[in-house]
Amino acid sequence: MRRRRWPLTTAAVLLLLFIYVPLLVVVLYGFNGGSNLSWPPQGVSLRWFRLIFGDDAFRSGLRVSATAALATGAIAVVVGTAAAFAIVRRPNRVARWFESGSRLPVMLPPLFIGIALVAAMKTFAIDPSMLTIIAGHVIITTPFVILIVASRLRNYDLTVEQAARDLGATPRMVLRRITLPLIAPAIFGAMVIACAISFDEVLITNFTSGTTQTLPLFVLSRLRRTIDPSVNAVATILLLVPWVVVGLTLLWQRRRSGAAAVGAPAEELARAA
Amino acid sequence: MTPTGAVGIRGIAKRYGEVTALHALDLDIPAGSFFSLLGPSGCGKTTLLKIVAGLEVPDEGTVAADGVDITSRPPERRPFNMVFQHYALFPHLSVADNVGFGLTTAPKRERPSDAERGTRVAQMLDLVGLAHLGARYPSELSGGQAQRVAVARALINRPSVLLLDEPLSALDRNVRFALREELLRIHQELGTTFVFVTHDQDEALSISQLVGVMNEGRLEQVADPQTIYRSPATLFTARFIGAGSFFVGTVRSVGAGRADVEVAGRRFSAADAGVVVGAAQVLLRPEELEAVAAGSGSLDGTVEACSFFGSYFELLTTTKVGPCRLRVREPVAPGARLGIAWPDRAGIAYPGGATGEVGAVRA
Repeated sequence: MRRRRWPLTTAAVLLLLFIYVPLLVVVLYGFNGGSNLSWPPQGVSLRWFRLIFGDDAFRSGLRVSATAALATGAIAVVVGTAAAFAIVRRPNRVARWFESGSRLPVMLPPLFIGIALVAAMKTFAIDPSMLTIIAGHVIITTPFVILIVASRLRNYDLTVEQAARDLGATPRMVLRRITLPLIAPAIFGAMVIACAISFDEVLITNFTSGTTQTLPLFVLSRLRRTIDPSVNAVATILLLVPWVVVGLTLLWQRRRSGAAAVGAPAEELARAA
Repeated sequence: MTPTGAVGIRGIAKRYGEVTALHALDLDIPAGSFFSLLGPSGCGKTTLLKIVAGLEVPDEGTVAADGVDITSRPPERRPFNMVFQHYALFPHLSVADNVGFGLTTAPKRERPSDAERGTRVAQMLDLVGLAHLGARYPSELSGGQAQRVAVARALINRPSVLLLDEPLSALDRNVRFALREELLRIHQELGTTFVFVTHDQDEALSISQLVGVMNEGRLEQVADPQTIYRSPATLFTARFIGAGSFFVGTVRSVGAGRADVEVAGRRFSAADAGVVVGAAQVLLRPEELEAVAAGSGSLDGTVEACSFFGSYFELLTTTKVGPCRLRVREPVAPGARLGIAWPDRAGIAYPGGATGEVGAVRA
């Protein structure tokens, strides 16, 4: 008996439409020639992009967000990779405890983290600045880095390290010439994910930024007043920047490792989950 | 010049929690020999090899290379190199860089120049017949090629001992046979000591000069392959090496290395493997047994199964003293009755009177 497939197919198509149509509409209106948001868009133009790139507040927000994303990625990847090594390579009770502890921020409501950071800043008399923005982002992104890198380290054939030792390499040489190159795609992927999370984080940033405005905060402040068509252009940028970066990363990994994208971050995340 | 590469193992013991992997083991591996450690999986042979390589630390005992104690040296400072079961090639390096890796790990001043490294890598790839594959990556190699690269990589530092951890077990039968012969050729060409771990008795017997049979963390016997096959010292070795039939018999008298035994009413002289007068287990090899007309041999049997092995058929028969294996040239239908005969001097008598058992089928 042939099983009917159309109910499942219809459901899948509806779900995809539900996810992507709003995105498509935003992108379409980002390139809209007219100045109101009525359907259909009137002609294609870059006027909204010109408008926002001419706006100092937007440019400053973009600069702040990019700086925070890069700094967060760099710090989270160093701390997270070191932590992943400790967890996987020294599997004692403290390490297990530490691993569970390091997953906690993923499960905590961002609102709670934000309030906690505000309380901490008050207690220690720290003023909001770029540093506090980065600190908040590092807290929420490091668990992802640990998850991805630890998963790669667990799915990794230890005998290649033994072979390197056997061929005269010291433990430090093994780390530099064998282990790190082999897990580099996972580390890089983890960093890209950390940057992407940081780039559009808004909840915690709201509490830690003070007068500094990141790009997502800039969008929010715009929307608070009116629905401004230029917001669509900003949203398009927010959407495309992470996609382009992640896409390029996947391409690079595929070229680097031949046919199979060894340690593609998505794969690692799926395995770790 | 006397050959180098003698390995001396004294009282090596290793425990993993409650489990004892090695019981205070002594072993001398002569310089330049092709030595096999043979045993079932879990017998401790790989643990012993890793202790020799320095990849595992023994709880007790010492390892010496040409008389020098190296027990406390890390693997990178031992004159030994290892070939791993699953190759363990560096996936991010080309074949040439894999093979040359061992030449790039010395302190900067002692490191060979790039030119010398190139020459030696080429020599090694030549030795294993892969001169044309230097630019490939490990993921582009077949299993046989990968293991050849692993051998070349392990030999480039001119180790005095090459340690091989079941290097052929992951390969197809034909590749395995070709690589086995190639290992023999390389051993003869270089004169390096080869310590070869395997669970395959045919492999061990066909290529080694000396075989050490291991069981549950102990050495059962160390001898040349012919002695191992013809006079297994213990019941375990006898069972593990090749097919044979074990009959419960009675020892009437013992003397001069022979035991006068009685099996199924037939008295004959078997080699003595430490028996005393009384019950014993007698091993009869398939090649000692002859199929004759029913009633005219020492024992009658009913054919249960007849398996084709190319140059012979192996019959599994049931007799009144237990199952019995023998070889014939022509197939025999299951259910047929036949007689089993053997000469007056045959078999080996082992202590113990447990039920008769048949040795493993030889693959």
